[in-house]
Amino acid sequence: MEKSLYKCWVALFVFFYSIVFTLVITTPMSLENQWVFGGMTAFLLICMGKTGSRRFRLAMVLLTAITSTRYMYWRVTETLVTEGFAEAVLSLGLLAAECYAWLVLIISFFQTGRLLERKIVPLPDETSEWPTVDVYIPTYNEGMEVVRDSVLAAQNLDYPSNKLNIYLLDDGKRPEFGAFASKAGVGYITRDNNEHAKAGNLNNALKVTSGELICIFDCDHITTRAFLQATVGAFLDDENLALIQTPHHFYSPDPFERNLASGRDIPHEGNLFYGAIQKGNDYWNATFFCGSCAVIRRSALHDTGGFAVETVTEDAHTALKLQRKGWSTAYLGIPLAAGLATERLSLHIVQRARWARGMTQIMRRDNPLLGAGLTFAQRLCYLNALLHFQFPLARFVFLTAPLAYLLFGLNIIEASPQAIAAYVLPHLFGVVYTNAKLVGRYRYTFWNEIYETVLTFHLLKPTLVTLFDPKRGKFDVTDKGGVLAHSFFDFNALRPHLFVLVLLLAGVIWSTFRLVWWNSGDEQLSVLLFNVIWASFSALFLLAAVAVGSEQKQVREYVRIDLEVPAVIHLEGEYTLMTSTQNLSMGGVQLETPPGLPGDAYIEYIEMSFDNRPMLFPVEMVMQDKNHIRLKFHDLHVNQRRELVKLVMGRADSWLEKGEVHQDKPIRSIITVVRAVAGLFFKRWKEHTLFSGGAGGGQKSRAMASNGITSGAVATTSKSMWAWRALLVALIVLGIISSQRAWSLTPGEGRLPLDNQILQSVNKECSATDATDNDVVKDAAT
Amino acid sequence: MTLICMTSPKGGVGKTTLTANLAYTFQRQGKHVTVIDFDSQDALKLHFGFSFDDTEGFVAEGQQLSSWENLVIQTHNGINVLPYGRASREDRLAFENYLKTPGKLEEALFPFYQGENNVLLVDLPPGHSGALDALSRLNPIFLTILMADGSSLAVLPTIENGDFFPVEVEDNIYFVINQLDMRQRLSVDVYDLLRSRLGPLLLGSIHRDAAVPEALAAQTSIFQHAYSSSVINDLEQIVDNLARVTLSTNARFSSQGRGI
Repeated sequence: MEKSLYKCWVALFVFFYSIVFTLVITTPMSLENQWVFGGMTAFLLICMGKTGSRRFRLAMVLLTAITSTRYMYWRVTETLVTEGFAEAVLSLGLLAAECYAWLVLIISFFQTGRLLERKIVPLPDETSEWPTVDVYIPTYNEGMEVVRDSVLAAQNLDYPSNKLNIYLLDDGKRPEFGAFASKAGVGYITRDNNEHAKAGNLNNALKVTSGELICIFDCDHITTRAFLQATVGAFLDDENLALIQTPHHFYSPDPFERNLASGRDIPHEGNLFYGAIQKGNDYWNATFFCGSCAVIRRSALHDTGGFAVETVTEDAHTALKLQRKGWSTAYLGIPLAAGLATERLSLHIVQRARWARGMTQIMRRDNPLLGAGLTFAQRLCYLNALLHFQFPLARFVFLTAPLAYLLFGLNIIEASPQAIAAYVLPHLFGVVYTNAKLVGRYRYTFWNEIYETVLTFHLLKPTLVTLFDPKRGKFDVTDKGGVLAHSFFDFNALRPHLFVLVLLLAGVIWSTFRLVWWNSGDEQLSVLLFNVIWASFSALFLLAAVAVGSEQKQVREYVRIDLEVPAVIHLEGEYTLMTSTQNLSMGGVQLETPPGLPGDAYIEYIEMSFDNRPMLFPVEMVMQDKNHIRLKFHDLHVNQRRELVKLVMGRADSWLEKGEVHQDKPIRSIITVVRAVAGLFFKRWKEHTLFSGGAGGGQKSRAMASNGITSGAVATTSKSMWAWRALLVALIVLGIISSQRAWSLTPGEGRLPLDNQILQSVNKECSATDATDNDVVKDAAT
Repeated sequence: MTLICMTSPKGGVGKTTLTANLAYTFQRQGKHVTVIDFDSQDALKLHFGFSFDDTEGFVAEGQQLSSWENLVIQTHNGINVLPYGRASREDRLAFENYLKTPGKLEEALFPFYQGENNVLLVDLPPGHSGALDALSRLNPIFLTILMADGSSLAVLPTIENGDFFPVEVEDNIYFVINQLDMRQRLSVDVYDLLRSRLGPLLLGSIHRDAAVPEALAAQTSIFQHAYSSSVINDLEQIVDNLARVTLSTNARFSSQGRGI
């Protein structure tokens, strides 16, 4: 009864909202009135944003939906260019990109409007009621260094040993992995083909094992001991639950954190998805499977014929298939395992290209809008995930759109810059401000643009090709666990970004020339300004992307915990000294130097106690001074390594966020963007920021051993550094010269004959990316 | 009151050295410590700076005295020592009889361990002895010293059967492992086994450390000779545990006393 009453209220509300919505977006207004309208919405948003109430957040979403839709309505009805082929096509293209962005915005408002903060369901006291669990650790070509600790960590899981089986699924069929598995005491499963990559590997293991629940960890994911304690209870609580997903946490820096000066001051790239989107999905019972750090019910998998093999993103597709069969999925937003991030930009691109391809495949082959078994909300949540990966084309359009005017004088929006400003500013403000309030803890303003700009050129082809031919594309395994001996500039990955940057720069110079010497007037100046501002934003994001590809040297980072426990130093000749540890990692330990340690003492072993049991670790001296001794572990026995993993990375609270998360402030956020770009030009400052840990503050991981840079590497870095500095100086000089020209010349006086040659050459250069038109500058004033 | 008897079913486990080191540890914690040597080897005194030629001791002289306070030799460390002393065969036999007389030994030793601050450490000879039986009447804490090797493991059942100690003290038998060498696979395995078998009765273990015999050779305590040795930490842990079990034992006895 109460429920239907509630439904009535909701229906009534939706009815009235739609009336208001339609009225507001369609009402024509004079420019002044539109400004007033924009100012009012902004004021209202700020007032509502100041309160912390969830209802007001919802109201903000509804209001922003109105301003954004009003902008789109205006764009569609009044600003389309219909004259001239090139202009009409480009104008339509931009509009299509904006429509896409609007659609994604509205769906993501729906998706993240309400977040479900799921709690752990405790397991019953009686362990006989606990289900049996198979832990799968699939691997293909990853190194032993990466896989070993993940397997040992899985063995540390707190779960009755007669109900827990761990299997290493080795598609690489490497004998040393089999040997390791038997030494560690876990199952080892291989198969005689590699069909369907990871999904096939998992399906093969399903056939030969029998646990009621399947727990999957990617081979670099090191679980905490509490993982099953936190996740399995949910399956006993809800008979219909097929999957519980937990976040992917990374203990090594991704390219953004590593290569950007401000990369560690912003939320991790994955936070938006694991902090907000998945919780929103969970609210609508539409949590995706993310391939790792999840538990799945075997009987549910039987229902769908195992893991999905039709696409290269088997995880999301498996979840979709489960949900079509009526199973529910859940998301527990507590990081209970951690893995390696993709280290380099090029690897990041490969990984995302696979995701984009896989998601596009799902869109083509098993579109969530079609077919049976899903609720409307589930369809929207899945659709948004698939739509998200269609961003490359739209982002490409947004980045390059100002070129149409700057290079060719084409106007692709039929409105004065003042009118555009009056409509677009309230829209942009609404989107930025509402998002900052809604998901600002998980992603800062403008960073979404950077993440997309980095990928956009490389993902264009995979998404478009797959959209037309979903059969194409194979499963690329993401390389992990590598190190980088010295810094380098990933020119290959950044070629398109640099190319567009040069075009933007050329466009700004060229259009300034045009304005100053050829056709100046008030109208002209504002159009130019509008386009230059747009181009500057494009350039800022492109520069940030370029900064991401400016690869910082990477030494292996170990997770290091500050830990003060007693330790005993065993010296050569049976002397033992007591001391205490200062910090501990999988690679080594730092001790307090005990008084009375002879300077020439040779330390053979370190003894530390785990669960009250002393263990001896063979060590090698790294460094010793009067306060610290740093030691590196020798080859550790499997049992020792397992204990070490438990202590260093396996504690239940290992990955919980310790510092408080700052709410997004758009102004502060743009400073982080500028700092990221500045790091490109001031390398030494960037390295200082990154390695001193000053700005990063509170980072657990630190570079372990310093790596000697070869002189050749020094020479190349300094050369590129000078090139960038020269470029910066040239930019500034050019800016000054051109602006002074503009001041010194009065209108009309400065008209000079058009230099056709320059035009021709620019024209040629651009023909690769944009449609060409012979009389490119025929009328810049329209 | 703290009365601790150091025993071992077999010799050569470093019992006397451990007695001396525990005495130093107690003393560092501000206790008034007395050590008494019931082993005819008379080696305990060497740990306190005595020369082997010193002949004084309670075996020859103590049988006639009701209180042994005059026999105590105070060392410059502040620890009171009652050495076995030089004794003829007749003295030793007479002393065995003396030990069998009820009440005598109690009266002689009582002043050394009564009171909050007094600790009496008794170094018993290895294996069975008349002194062990006599001291059992004083309700001491028995600290049995084992080594993490095969032979200690072999003698453990004789203690667990109740063959070694009189039945009335069986609640007060505790263990320590001496000269634990973590580098040896066997000793780690034996150590693990002993830990699981003895559980809370194991009050601690002491690392094998070359600094311990060196300290004896230098006629000084380990605290002075190698002040950062891990052995010191081990000793302190054992002393803490002894203090804990003493408290509970005393509480048990006093409550029994009230019951009567």
